[in-house]
Amino acid sequence: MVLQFAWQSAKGGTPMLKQEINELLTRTGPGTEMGDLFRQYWIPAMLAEELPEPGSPPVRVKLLSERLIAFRDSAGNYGLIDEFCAHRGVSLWFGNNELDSGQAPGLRCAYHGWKYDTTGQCIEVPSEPDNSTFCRKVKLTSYPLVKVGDILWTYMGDPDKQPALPEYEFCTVPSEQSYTSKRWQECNWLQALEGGIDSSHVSWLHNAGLKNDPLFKGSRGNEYNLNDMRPFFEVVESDGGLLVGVRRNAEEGHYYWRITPWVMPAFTMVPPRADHPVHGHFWVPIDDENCWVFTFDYLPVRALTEAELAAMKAGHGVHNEYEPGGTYRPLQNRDNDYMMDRDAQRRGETFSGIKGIAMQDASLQESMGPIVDRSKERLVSADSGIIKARRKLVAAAVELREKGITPPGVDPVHHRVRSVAAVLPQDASFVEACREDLVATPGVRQTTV
Amino acid sequence: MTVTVTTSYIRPTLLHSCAWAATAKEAAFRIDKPPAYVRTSRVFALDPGAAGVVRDLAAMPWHDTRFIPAFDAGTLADELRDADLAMMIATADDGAAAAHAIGHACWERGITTAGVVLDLGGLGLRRAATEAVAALRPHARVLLVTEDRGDIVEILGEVGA
Ligand code: FES
Ligand SMILES: [Fe+2]
Repeated sequence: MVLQFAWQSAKGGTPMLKQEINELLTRTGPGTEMGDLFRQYWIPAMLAEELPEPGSPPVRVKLLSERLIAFRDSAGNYGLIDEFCAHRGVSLWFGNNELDSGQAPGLRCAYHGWKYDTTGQCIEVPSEPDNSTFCRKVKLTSYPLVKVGDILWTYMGDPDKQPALPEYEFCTVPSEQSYTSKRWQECNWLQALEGGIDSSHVSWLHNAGLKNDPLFKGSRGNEYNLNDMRPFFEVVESDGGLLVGVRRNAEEGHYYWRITPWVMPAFTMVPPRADHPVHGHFWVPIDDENCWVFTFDYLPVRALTEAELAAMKAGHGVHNEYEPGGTYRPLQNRDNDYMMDRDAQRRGETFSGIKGIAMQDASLQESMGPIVDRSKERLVSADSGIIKARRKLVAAAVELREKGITPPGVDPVHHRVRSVAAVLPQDASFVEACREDLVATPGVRQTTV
Repeated sequence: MTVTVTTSYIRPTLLHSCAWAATAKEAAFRIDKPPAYVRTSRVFALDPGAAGVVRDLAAMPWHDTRFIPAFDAGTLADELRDADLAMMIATADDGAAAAHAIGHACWERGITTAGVVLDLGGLGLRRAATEAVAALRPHARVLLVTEDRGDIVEILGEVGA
């Protein structure tokens, strides 16, 4: 097939080159098609722990290629505003988050003292007379910053179209049932997300983790995983995105199914194993060559145990260890070749020589380059989930731009999904048999093997 | 998790010989010549609805792909000679016998199978996802249920058909 015809149907019949598709999918700055798409959704901006209390130091946040400053004023309000002062463009990171109770709450620029509230409104210009109203005419761009679960979410789109708050189960269960970490990944968001949709790498890259990791081991599903290295795949559209089902042989007449939901644009969830916490990710563009990977672990009906929480904080499961200094940069990173351990690789303790599920993924995805050139890939039919996901993203971005159609995944109903692991009779359809298990229902345990 | 740096890790001395090779600058040195890659594909329609789709596909430019709008058990062995991908397209739930014959022949020959259940309106995605899929499921390594026939073009294009 001559590749440039492949996407003819996406853009009103105009053929798109593979390079154009790649550009469209990977660029999320202001004014880009995928950037507009992301600006339809609430997205994770940061962890709530980064602004723990009123008056916490301001934090630099870059999202969708926009540099912002997040702060929590002395009254406890969260704000996410343009990083740079309207006066002479100084970074407000140096600013003083004023705690003096006699003063209006706000962040004061360190250079000449202009002061802003959490909406970006300038509330004081010290060089003006006392009774001047000039400051009211100065306002920085700002976005809402709202705590839901352990995450501070933002919406960077048209204020008139702001949707209802996110309802993903991991951030709506009681806090003792959920834990979220984040890590910096040094590549484009899409190649990271695609790792969350691509179930065919798990039996290879993560094989040792299934046996040894405290947050994985001991599930009957692991045996099916390891005994059948050539799974079958089924990709079905859902209201919010896709369901990717992977089936392996189980006992006579049965298949072991692992079902991964993708909710557009950037939420994926790993199917559960035994009674271990269920995990998943939110893949958020920082700029076109970096992304935040928010990683959650939760249980619908019980609190995380101390041992589970300790394991997560120590970097087990899908979490990771960090460089010192609170940068959220993984300890294993490209400066140290991810601490490659050839001996462990030779002994079969890790498949790639890299320790930990998260860094096994991140190291390979970063090795693809800052933005992988998708025109050079040679996909196979087992990659159909990735192919379909890209098509849905392009279609949604084009329909939004050309017809103003709200994309899937904006409606919070689409957020109420779950991953599922189940053993089903061979003739059962996973979509039908697991219809209820795939919906997040409060008080109902996850469906797991 | 305790990560220990073992003695086998030796700090590299050149930019391209360590993980820093993932920078944009170093990406410019990736070999530009596409890797050798040929895929010999066969695309089978499993029912009359799918036959029309397969005929439309046949009119597009492909590399080494043959389209079979009407399944014929007598010529199956010939059709599969040298193939390494067989895609089956269903729009209804009456193609089970053909799917079985193709799936079995592919299994014997080590040919990868893929299935697309295309909902052309009549079936409804739910039914498509149950009945037509049930006919195809045992025989397709990967199955896609979709309303968009462009997906077929895309998958074939991506796999090098
Ligand atoms: S085997 Fe998949 S990227 Fe190499
Ligand atoms: Fe992975």
